[in-house]
Amino acid sequence: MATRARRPLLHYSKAAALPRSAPTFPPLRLAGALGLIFVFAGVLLLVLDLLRSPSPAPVPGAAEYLVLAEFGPSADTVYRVDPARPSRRSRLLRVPHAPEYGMIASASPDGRAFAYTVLPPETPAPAPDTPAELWTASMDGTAPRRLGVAFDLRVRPLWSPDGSSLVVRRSGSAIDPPAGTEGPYELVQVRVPDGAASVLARSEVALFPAGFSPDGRTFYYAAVSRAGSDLYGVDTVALTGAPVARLSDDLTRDWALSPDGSRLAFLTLTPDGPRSRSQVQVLELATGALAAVGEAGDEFGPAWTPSGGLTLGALRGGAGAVLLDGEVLGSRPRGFDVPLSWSRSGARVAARSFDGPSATSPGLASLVVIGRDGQRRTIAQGEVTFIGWTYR
Amino acid sequence: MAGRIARRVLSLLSGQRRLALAAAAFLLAVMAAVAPARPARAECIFPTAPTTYEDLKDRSLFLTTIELAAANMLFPGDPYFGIPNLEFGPRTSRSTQPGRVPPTLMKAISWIESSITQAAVDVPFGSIGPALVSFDCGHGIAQVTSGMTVALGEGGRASPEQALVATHFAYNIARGAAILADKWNQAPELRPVAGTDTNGLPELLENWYFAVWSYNGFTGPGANRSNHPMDPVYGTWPRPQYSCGPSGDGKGHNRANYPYQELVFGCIANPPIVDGRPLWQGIPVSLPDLSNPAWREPLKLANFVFPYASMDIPTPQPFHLDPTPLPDPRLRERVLGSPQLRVSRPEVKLGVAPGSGSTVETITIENAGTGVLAWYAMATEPWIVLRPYAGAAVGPNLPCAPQAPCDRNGKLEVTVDASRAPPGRRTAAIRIQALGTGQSFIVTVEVSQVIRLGVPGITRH
Repeated sequence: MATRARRPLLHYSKAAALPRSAPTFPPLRLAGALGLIFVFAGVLLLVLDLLRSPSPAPVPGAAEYLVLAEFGPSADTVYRVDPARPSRRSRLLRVPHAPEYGMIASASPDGRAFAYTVLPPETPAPAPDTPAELWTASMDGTAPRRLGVAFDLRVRPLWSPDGSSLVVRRSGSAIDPPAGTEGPYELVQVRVPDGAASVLARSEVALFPAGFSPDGRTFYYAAVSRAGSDLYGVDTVALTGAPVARLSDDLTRDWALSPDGSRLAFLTLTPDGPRSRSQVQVLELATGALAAVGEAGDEFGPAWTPSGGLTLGALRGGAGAVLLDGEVLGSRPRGFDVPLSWSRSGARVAARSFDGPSATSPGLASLVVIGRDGQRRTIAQGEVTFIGWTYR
Repeated sequence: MAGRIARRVLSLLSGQRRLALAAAAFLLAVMAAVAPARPARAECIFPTAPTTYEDLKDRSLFLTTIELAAANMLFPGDPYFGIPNLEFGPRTSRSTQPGRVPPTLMKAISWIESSITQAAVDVPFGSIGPALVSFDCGHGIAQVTSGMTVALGEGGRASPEQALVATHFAYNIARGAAILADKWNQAPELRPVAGTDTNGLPELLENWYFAVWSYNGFTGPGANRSNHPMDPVYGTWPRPQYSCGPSGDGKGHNRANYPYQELVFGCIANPPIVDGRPLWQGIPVSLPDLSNPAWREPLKLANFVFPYASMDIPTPQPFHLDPTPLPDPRLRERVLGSPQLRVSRPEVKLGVAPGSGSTVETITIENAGTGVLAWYAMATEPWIVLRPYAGAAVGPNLPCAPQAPCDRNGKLEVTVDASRAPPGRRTAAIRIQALGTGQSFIVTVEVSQVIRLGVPGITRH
């Protein structure tokens, strides 16, 4: 019932690009004249675009596009965006949702589809723990399909490496927990073709999907409770699980498994003299060795390059930098970046960019792309969520 | 009748069209059979949501009511709807002061809970319709859930207090404010204290951090509805400030990404805009600085252990007071009005066929006065069925929007449960109360046995 002024879709007013001294035409040729004006404006835009600061070098092979969702009070809109020309957007899908509760989405590894959890628009008095629906859609925006219901809205669907299944979480009232407990929680593997579901893990403590081994045989998840954070692995064929490692005595988050499945990077808060800092740590799965990555300041958004390099955002002394294997990929005197995901080619990384001085006062957010040469390009501002990469 | 119509339709169709219609019907049937079922909503205390009044879009009546409730000027001293005295002071030496809740805090909570609406989503502004009831039995503006999941009245019915929460916006808001005050007072025995350096004074908005957290459930890391600020369920870290304002203000709006207290504090600072006007003056409330050990250490996992004594925090800085002035006491009369109960008939006569069904009679309940009359009906015999047994009758002074549904009268349907009614002629009574006013009316019910019930449409098993 509550109405909000919808933020207008970002679009480029081509008429505004015309010089003020544009010639006029006799009324009888008005239609043709307008057509010529638009053609001229389009050419002018192309020239201006090419004269801008250089975009990341083109990579041979398939073109890479970002897929993002723009939040709306009652519906999110999914777009495909050319990172070299962010003004060029293709609208893929409009996803209606319960008021003020947007979708939580992720792209398939091959970039051909995306999955999302969403509260239906008719949900009465929606809440974060209201059971959500799981949907999947192709990257051309056609054929969204509902795969199931009664899943946790806020746990992002995790794709298997071959894109044939998703792991989502189910909990609370959707499971009928034993008396006196807040759980249990289940991590459920849902087959994309038919929505068939099987439980991979079940626990009294909160579970979060972390990743799959490259062959899809082992699924990793984090168990977070008042006792700390632990990593577990499940054989997806035998459906047997076992603990892998202790991650922390405290909360951890933003888990990212390396492409070869050998390392897990994640965030934790650690004391650092007179303050606490957000720190990236890396776990070697084979040995259980745990090591911090940086030395000082705050760190965010561990993300792996396709070749296994570790990227993270750093904030030190008020200045931000994106680091790749410890080397500065890009820096900025004010604000900071949170890397999200590298494209398949490894040419560019999508990141969430903040203009504030700290994690507790992050300021306004935008979505950017950073190339290997450190060049940044703003893709979208405001409340947009990066879903993933797609390729054409 | 349906069969004759179907045959008529089919006779008009050609063979190909009949085949297409049959295929479509088969396909629909298959889709219905294989489509995953929606989860059932939790059972709440009313079989169907009772009617209530919805304010106009500007919410001016509801906002005034919130200010009155926050100042404890609606029902002071009432054990259910009044605000108790609030505790303050250090953990080991507490004092009390007259209970008041910062009004802007209550407005923000009400917006987050229901967009400050009392009725269901599909009930237009300025109209009358079913009350808003959520998946977890939260009712109305303040989404009162405490005490609304189990019927506390006689015979498994909602109690009069529960009926007031569902049917009358003022009682709903007052109950919400009372619950928030109770959450405040849970410190220090059951909750941590916010404001260890400012005597825990309730005048400071920031000191309500844990009470607001508790209003939505004082749940911690990993819980299904965790409101811990560092819980990994809240997307990537960090996150921008939440805003109830327009989508284009550059701040966060997806509620899935924030713990409850950050939604409320963000909404206080960035109020909703309705028809181009903010619903209140924004106040830049501060959140705990999680990079500072003074706040980070109390909030670490190891301390989230009942009764949370190690979670006490100093007041987040800088702190703020609510500048909203106390409302004019005369506004109470405007908000509550002066309802006058008027019932359409003093008696009803019902016929019952034992083991079969009963006739149905309807009683109209009118508010001949002003404001919202929350009516509540009870029968003297368990075999008298009242449907519904509570609702709202709205006085003419409360505006309805043009062309909005605005049946101001309540409709009480009376039947007999034929399987429970004793044989023979019987007499019973229905007492209809105007809750909160002391008014009531008795309707006499005469029940007689019949051999066969009458015209289809008014019989019921």
